[in-house]
Amino acid sequence: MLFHSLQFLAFFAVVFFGYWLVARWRLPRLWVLLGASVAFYAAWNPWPLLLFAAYAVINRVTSRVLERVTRPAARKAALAAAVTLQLGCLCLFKYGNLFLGTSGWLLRRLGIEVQTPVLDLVLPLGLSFVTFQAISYLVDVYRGQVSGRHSLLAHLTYLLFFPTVVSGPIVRAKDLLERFDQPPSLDPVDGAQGLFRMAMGIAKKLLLADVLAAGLVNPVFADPTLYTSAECVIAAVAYSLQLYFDFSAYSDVAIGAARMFGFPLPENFDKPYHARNLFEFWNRWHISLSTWLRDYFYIPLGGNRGSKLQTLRNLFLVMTLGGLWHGAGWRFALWGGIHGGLLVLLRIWWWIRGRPKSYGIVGTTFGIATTFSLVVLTRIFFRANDVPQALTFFDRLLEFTPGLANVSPLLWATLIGAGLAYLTPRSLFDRGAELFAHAPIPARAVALVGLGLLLRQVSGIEVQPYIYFQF
Amino acid sequence: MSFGRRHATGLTLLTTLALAILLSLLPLPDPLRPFQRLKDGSAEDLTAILFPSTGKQPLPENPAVPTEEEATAALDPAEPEVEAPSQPGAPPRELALKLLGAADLPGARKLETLARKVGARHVPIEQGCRRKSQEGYCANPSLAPFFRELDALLAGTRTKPVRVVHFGDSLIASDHISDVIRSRLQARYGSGGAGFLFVDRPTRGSGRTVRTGKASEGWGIAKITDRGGPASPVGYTGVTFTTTKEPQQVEFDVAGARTAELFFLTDPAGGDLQLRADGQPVGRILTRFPKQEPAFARTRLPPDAQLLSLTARGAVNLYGVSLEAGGPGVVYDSVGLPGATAKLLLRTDPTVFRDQLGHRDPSLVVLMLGGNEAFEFSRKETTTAQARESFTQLVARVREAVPDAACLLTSPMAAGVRKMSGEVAPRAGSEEIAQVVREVALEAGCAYWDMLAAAGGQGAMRRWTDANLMLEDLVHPRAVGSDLLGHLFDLALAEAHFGWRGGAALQDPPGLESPEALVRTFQRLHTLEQTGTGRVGLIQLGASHTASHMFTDRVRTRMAERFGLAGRGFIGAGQHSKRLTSSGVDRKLTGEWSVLDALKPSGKIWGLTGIRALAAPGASAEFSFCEKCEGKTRSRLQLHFLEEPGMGRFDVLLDGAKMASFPDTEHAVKSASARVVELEAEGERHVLSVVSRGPGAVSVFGASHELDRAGVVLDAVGLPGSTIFTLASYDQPTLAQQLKARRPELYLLFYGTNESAMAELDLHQMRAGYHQVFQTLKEASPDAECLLIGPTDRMQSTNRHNVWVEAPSQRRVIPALREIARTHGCAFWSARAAMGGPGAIARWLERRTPLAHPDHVHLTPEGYAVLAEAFSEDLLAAYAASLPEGAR
Repeated sequence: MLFHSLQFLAFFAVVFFGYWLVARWRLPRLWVLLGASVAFYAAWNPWPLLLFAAYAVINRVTSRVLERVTRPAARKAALAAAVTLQLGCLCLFKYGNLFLGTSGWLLRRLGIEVQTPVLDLVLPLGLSFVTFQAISYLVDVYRGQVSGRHSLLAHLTYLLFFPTVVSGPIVRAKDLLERFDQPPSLDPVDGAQGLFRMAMGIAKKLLLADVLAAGLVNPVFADPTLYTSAECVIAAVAYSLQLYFDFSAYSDVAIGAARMFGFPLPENFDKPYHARNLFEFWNRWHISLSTWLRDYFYIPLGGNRGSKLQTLRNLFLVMTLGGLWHGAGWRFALWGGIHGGLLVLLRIWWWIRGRPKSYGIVGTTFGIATTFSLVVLTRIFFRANDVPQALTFFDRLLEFTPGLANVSPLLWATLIGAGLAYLTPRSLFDRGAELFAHAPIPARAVALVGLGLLLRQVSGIEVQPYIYFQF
Repeated sequence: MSFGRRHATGLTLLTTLALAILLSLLPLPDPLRPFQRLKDGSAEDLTAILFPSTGKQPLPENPAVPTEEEATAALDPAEPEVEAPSQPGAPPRELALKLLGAADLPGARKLETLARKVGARHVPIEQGCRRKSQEGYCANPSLAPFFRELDALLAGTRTKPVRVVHFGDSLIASDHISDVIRSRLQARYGSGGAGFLFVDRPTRGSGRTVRTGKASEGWGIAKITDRGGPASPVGYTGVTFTTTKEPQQVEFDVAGARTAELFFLTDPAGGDLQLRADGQPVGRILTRFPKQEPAFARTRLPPDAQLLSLTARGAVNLYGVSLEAGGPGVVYDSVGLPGATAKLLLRTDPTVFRDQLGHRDPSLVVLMLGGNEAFEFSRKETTTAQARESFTQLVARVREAVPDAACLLTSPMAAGVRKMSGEVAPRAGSEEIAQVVREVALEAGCAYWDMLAAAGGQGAMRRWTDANLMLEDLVHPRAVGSDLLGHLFDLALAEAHFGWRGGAALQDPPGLESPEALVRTFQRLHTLEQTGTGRVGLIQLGASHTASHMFTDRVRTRMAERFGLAGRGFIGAGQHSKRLTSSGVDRKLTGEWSVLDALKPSGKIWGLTGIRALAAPGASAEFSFCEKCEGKTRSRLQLHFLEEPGMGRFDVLLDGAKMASFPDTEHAVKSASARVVELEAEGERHVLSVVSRGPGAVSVFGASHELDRAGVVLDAVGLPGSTIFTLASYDQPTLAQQLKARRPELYLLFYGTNESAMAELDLHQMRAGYHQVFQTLKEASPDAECLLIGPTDRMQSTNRHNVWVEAPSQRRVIPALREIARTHGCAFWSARAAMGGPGAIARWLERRTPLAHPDHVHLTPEGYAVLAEAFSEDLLAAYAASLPEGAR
């Protein structure tokens, strides 16, 4: 059930009314949320729910232990055991075949002939997000930042909360689980703004991200040798725009939907392509993951409290493993490693030359352009099917062949639209939300129906007859 | 706070829903009605929203996807929506598939499954008419020139290759479609070599390099798709590779090729080409001539040459190199240029085009174009009239260059476009251009194949995309999709060919012939399968293919899977053999033994395997059966030996315990004869031993082991190097005696491979040999049926440059065996046809995992497995067909 499907909107409306009907009672409202979340997930595949239930049980038991036991060593052991179990599940389901295949390859390189088995496991949707969320809770309890006395029902609802279960944001317990006990309220403005945000998210996804994907990104990345260097450049840039509008659209719908249930979630994006350097970029892109890596991985590793060498090591390690978190392929680790390497270089540069206190117009422009270029280029590894294909893409880029015959006027229009949408100041967006929130109910309904009709209408337009013409 | 304000969000949702429903019911244009079917009184839209189906809804235009079993079973001709009717006289599709040979059949079946999944169809080739008779009938259909030459290849009367030139756009440039067609045609009719290869990829850095050399980077490339046309005159290949100052190199893999022919352009300022084979100079070609014109230079390559290197110095205009094997067979050139259209192909220099294509002398020219015309049409950049004009001119140019060649045009394949919703929709233009191509083809006397319909029509793109057969551009099929198109084209061509021959002209068809001759065997097998009781005995008599056990082991396994196994059966006496261990049997001879065989006559009495093992006093033989068995089923064992006056004494031991001694005292031995002793014992694992006590010699033939349970028993009794004459030379009464003891219900006779190598083979004698053997078989078991297995493909070296040619009598042996089978009421199965016909042994040898031995006679274990699978499938399919409707 995709967020931008009519099925989801109908499902959401039913859950919304059901939830607010019983919102004043804690247990019923949690059951409604849990039931909806289970139904939402089971529409894809019910079996992984058993794994997530096991996560909830582990969290519940471990959090109780952490609450009751005071001996530091025992607490640490309990936490380590639970985190190892959950990371083990993630490794098994997500990386099992990657590790087995790589081990077999290495052994064969050493002259040892082995037949590596292939695990026939379905990767549960959202497993990476749920695992990180579960771990964050345990660490927060361990650190005493949140209570460990939540019920199993609350745990399950926290892990499976349907707006965030598939692709985040990775929500901390204080932002969701801790709020389950408080009676929710829905301010009319909050509700309307949540609705507005959901609508905008769906529009971003359908009008921008999907068009860029279908019209240019997918065909060019499928076989870059069929396209000119100029088209490959446009496709690489389009991919970064697509990724932003796709993922931020998902976050918009998730945040908007959660808000309509009375849970204000933290933002996940903050104009990432405005970043003047890669550190800034990672503070603005997929914020819930970046902060998770910082709080639960980088800092426990020692962060920047150790020697300079340790700081650089930590930085590189976090980025490489963070890269691998995105997918079961070494190209993701390579992508993360390249980012880690660049951050290391930048950090060294700052140690030598000092971190700039202000950038000025020229510095800002140069910084934004450089950072964006690096992000776009490194994402070729992220988007390509494998490393050789990424290298083919780079080969194609470096041939400097001109010609943009495969970029249709509609795609140009979409690219320009995406650029404008990205550059739209947040204040203007907020102003739009304000207007919507204060408009009469019939006017809001007209706006929503109108947007729906518009989306349906443009979805019938042919994107691009992508044929290769090299003459 | 008012009610409305307190519940503003909920009311917004409700009002939105109400407005959507209201608009849907109002008489508004469809774009303004959210649920368009609501007005018709249908609540389907709303229902679908609230209660989404958990299962994936099939697309309305999708035909039902068959299960794997359905798809891999014999294709059901009664599927009008998928199967187009075959041409009159065309063989059943199953037969056309089997003509590919057992090694390629599994791959073809997978493509058939895929075809059904995506709704692809078998569309026959529509033939135009090259010449009409006075009565108005077509006296010379379009493809007749090509088919006549294929027939000459099959008949072995053609000494030159049969060439096909396949023109195309980017679909052909990747050489996936043409690669499938090439390998299929070469599998059926033999390979004449790799054919024409470009110097480099026409678009440097793009696409595969399978049809190009490995070129240095400094070659200039001029092609018809260059903006403004090519800078140098180009011929039928549409591209030329030029050098100016710096010397340039190109290397070609020439393994298996005997000749290399260079296609180049002479020029008053031309440079020269130095040719080296594996580093050794083999020629130098000067391209400097007073006049600029197309030229050709053929060079013989040394035997076993692997690499041909060309170094071009000065101004050289090289089109490519043709590599051929120097003998008969199919050579299939693919001339594909990304972006090519009929109009662009007209940019080729008419003189160079005519001279080069004429020199190439193809028997068939295929034009697989139209995809780019359809794209242009969809963008209103061309019209059907303009496309017609271009195609007409191109066909005329081809006919002018090679008036005697057949021509075949294909429609473009469907292409798709993606809507903003991501939905795939058909792109306009393909049907219109297909119609143009068809009309041009038939008017010009060419054949026409509707690739658009074969792929599943205009709507196919969604299914092809869903099945991941298309690239994201929705224009180019992925490798598997291209393979499927090649498969469909090849089968259409095969059906057209066999239809043209009238079906009956097929000399050596694959498959089981006269299965009705096995009716009693099938009934026994059915009873065995239904009731779980009984035994069906099979004996395969033959030469090395039988003696190797690899063929029979696999057939036994396949039979046992369905009917159960009642034991390993008979084993000839002999030394330890690794080939027996896979079926849980071991044997060994200890002490002094002489193993005689029927190929070096020493008496006439032989065991079933054509041997006689003679033991000196004190020697012993041991047969271990069912070595890994743990079961408790009762065993029946037999010992076959020669009883003759003056023979030595010997003891028979079972699991170390003495069971009997021979000669026994009850009856005196007056003459030599075979004797079979039967023993029974509890359990499945047993060791049967013979210990010679002297003073005379003891002759042992072999032993058998069976289990007291339902199932089949397949005895493999083969003598390497033997023929039917060898078997006929045995003492027939003792042979009958031994056969009778084995209680066979079906005889499999797998001879003919060695007869094929006999240049002076007398077929009358061969028939007489079979006649004699059949009499013996009849005497041994009057109710048994017979199945003759024709020989595998056999080739032999002429000792001249290691050239392999067909075994001298193979073409006579196979029809003779077929006739013998018919005369004696036996079924017949041609191993050679199952392998893929003449030359199959060479092709099996060349496979990545070789299926044949380099001696061009025997198969590798993998080859025997493939052959046995094909045999078992045909036998079991015939069995299934013999069953009553409800029992299949």
